[in-house]
Amino acid sequence: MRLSIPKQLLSDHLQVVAKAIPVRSVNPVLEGVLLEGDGEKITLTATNLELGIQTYFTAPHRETGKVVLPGKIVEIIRHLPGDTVELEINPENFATLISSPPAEFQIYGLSAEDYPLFPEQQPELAQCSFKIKAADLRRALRQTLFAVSHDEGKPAFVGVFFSLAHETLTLAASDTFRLATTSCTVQSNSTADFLVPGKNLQEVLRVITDEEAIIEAAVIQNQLFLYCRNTCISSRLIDENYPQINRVIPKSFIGTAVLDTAAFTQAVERASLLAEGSNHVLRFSLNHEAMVIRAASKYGKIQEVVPLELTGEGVEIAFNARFILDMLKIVEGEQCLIEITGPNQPFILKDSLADNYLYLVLPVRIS
Amino acid sequence: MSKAWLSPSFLLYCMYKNEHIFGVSLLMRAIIHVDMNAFFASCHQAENPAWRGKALLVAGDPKKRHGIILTASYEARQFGVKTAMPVWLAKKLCPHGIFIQPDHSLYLAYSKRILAILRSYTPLVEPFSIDEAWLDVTGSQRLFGSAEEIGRQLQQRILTDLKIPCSVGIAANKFLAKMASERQKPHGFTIIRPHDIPTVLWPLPVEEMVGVGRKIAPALNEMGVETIGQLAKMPTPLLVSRFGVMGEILHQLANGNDDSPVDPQALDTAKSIGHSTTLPRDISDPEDIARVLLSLSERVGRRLRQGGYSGRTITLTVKDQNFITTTRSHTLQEATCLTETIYQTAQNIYRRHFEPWRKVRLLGVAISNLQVREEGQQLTLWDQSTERLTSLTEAADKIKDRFGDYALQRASLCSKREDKSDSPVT
Repeated sequence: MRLSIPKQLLSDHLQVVAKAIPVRSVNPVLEGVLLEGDGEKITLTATNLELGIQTYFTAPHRETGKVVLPGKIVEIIRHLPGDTVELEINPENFATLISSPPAEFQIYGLSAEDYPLFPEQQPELAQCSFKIKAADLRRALRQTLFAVSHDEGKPAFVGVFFSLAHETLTLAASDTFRLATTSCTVQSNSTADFLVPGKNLQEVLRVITDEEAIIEAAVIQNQLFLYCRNTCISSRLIDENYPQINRVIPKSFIGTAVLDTAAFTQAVERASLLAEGSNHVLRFSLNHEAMVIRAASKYGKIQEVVPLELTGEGVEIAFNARFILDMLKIVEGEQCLIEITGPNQPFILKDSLADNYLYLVLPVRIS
Repeated sequence: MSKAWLSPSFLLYCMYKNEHIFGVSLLMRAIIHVDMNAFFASCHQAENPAWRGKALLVAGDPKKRHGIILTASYEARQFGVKTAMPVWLAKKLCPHGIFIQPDHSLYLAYSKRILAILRSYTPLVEPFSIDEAWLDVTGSQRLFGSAEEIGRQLQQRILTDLKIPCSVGIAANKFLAKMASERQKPHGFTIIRPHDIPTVLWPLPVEEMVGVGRKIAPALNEMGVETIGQLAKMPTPLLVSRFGVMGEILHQLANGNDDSPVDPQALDTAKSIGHSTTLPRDISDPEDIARVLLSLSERVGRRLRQGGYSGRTITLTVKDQNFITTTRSHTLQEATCLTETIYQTAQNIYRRHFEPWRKVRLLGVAISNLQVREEGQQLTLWDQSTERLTSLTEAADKIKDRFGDYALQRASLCSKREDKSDSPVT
């Protein structure tokens, strides 16, 4: 197979699939990128068996053939000097000549026979499908992803829970210390619940960057497929039960506080400099005058006052500074709302600009 | 009256000669090392006057395959009985000896009483093991007399109050003090002054030096170093090239230099906490193994909590029937101090790394990556089991603190409780 491809085109597509190349794998063929030409289009595929990314572009030549090129190909193509890349693949031994004068690479490719098949996409078997604006999905992911657990010992919590009910898609993520949940409108007529690994969704955020695009999504046989223009992402689903979210969200509050997002964020950032230990404890004292944030460590202590508008009762409570900061970083509105449920009881944080968003965070109990 | 004798030149002379003014040394520290003689045996003899002056041998239970001599009283040592000798050999050498099983709670109780006596002279007491400690009495000499007088006093008090003999070593640093207490046993009293180093320390074989173990001694001999004096005269770079940092330290010690402080917290700042046990018979039944792991985890967890620590890395040690020892560890996402978590992790390591048919001779559980336990507890959603376990553990620990470790036991461990009697082994 001989190809002559604009360098930028090839490089851009390689950058997309590169997100799924495993750094190290027991199967060396997985550490590469599968390049296939079917006479009409060139398809690139990479997978770490958890996450697969496939992307294609129209072939300039009616050539057919396939090869697995090592992961290094991504950087090789990016660094080529010319505007066009000549690829010549020897079907006998998969040696691939990559030339872009004055550079010429001879790369040892591998047989595509050993490359795992991309998960089958049979729309008729779909358990559910929906269409969502890329901007909406990206926002929902940003609002929830940070709350997933990284503890493989809690297999359900390393995933983001997707719940599709007709026109509404609800996302929830939790590491059991806090819970972030949001919902957005989608085009769909199915109902389904599924659990997607947070790690894979992190890559989805990196691959789907075009806010204008419309994403078509489908769950087919334990895989979530996301189609966005020429790219298809497939993620394995987590086969675990996710606990009831609504059960843990308090319905009644003893008080509600409204704060300026910027002032609150900056105060917590400063106070967290002295938040000690792995719990990063910050003490909050809310009353009708203000919110007082305190932290103490062996290096000293800090006290900071943030103005607030409080209706109902205040509270004395302690939280992990990181948990509060994670949420404040994604707040879009100028104001941030806190719903107080009592001492040693969770806070519910809300964003004045995101009606459907809710962040529940559990306190640190101080004796 | 003239105070000419307080002139600077006189003080300098005193410092140089290490003379004492009002019994107080001017320049050097005064360190005492106290080493109990045949401690385990002495404790039993102190408790039971009938055993005093008799050949008493503290040994593990041969039926449980702990069949070695832990300590022999000096009366038994006359017959050639040595520590770590198999029981059968000791019985051959000393057939009329009284063989008894160890009672660690007794030793701990005596150790605490000894430490209390030592601490009445200075707060700077560093316990080195259950039967040894260093004291820095530099500042105590104005209150209790010279280091020598303090040494005599505490040796006498430990003997009259507790009936435990000990050897005392006095010197200007920890190393020399320990070397001094080793010189004469039992009931020794040795002072090593700086000018004694060439005559007392240097003629000793390097094997007797603190810090030189079974590995270093042969290597030193190979280099032609037989005595501490020869080690002291070796060029440092040569020792460093052979032993690394340790070479430099050994060279300093051999010259009688050691500036390490007496640190009362030295034993408290643990790096890891672990327990292991040789089983009475080789086992492979998962239930038996689980029970042993639980009992070990409980002891580790209790000590961990008593020290106010939590840890992240759990290490399991297994010695199988062929005496092959394997260790495997697992690091948790979050530090723990709960017996249950330690036990579950140890169990998982066992299941993952050891074939179920392997017969096990020894099991050990340890926790490392220790950190001081934090104030405050992060609450969790859905799964409150950790919170509940923490409260339960806290309550159980309080009961044990008040009524003793055996006041509250796990039902699964009750039937397997070890016999704690001191009855002579026949």
